[in-house]
Amino acid sequence: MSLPLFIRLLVILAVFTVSRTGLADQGMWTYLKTVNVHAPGEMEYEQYVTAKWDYDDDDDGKYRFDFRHEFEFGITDNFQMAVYLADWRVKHSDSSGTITEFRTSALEFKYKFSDPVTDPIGFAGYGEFKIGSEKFALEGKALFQKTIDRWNFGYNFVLEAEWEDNGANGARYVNSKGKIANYLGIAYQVVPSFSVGAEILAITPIPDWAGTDTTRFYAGPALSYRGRGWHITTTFEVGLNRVPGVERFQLRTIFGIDF
Amino acid sequence: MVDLILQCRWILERRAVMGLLAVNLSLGCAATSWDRVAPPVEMLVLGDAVDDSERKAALERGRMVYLVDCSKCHVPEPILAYSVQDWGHILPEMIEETSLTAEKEADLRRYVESVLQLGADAAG
Repeated sequence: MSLPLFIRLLVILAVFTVSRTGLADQGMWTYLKTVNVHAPGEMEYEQYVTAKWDYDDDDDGKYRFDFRHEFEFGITDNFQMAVYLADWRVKHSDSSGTITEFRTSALEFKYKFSDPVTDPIGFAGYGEFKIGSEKFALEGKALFQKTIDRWNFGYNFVLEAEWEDNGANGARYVNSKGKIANYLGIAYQVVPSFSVGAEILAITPIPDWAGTDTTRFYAGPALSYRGRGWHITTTFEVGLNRVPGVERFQLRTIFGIDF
Repeated sequence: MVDLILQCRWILERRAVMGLLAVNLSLGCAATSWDRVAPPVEMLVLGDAVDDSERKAALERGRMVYLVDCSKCHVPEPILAYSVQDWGHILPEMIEETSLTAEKEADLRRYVESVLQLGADAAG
């Protein structure tokens, strides 16, 4: 990310940062997005940390940590946007050592069309635009959620198009690929500040848009705790099928603070 | 452009995706009733001698704030599961933490107080 762009992002943050308190969003899951949006003027910072390990293709001691720094802003009663200041990662393998990489910055938009409590089903549309020195990506999601008594059920359909890697003569983003994902989630609110649940992920890569790779399935528990003005949610996902070069375990934690 | 068309065609050919969406939509038809959690306004104004449409509208708005805005953070709890004393603490705390407008706050207070009054009348 160039410095001017970073400064512009800071200016946007400064404009939207208002000194108000606000509750954290529902945050029952870490991969699934919920339908609800922040109230106008609310702002939340979310710190993502995702650990990935146990790769199946070698004994090279590989593991990876992905980091995301996200600010979410409520714009209207039904619309929110977010800025990912940086998605970056730390990769390790015994042969290559430890490498730290900046990947992308991003803008995210979410519009809520119907409510999970008062409507037959909650639905929101979601768009994300990521850009980095070696990657450009567009991601669309259809978010569904239904609240029944103390239970929440969620489903996300995800479609992502991605262009990455730089070629000869300054050509950028020369490789195109896609991804389709289906995320299912369930959560039970034990008390208003604590919920337990589970997430199931089915991720299908589409290299070169020419055909699909093996779909990767993950499942695991999700725990969420909400304090006054902050929340933490953790999901531990276990790969249900082994795919060469793909991690078997993922542990994602999101820590959110409201402003 | 050709790439884009090919990508769109590829997506449309994956009908299974649409099937998953249909299953999810049918799940949504099993809508629950939230009347037990937040009694409908008709119950609160049943004994009104005069038709006060402004009060009804305010109570309706307050009920929607309770069901929609409060559920952004947690599943709505039955109002009558908590005592008047409990609500004396809960409401100020929750209002302080949310970004409700003054109008929404007033509507919410009015609705919750009306439900608590209904509970007291029923008990007494």
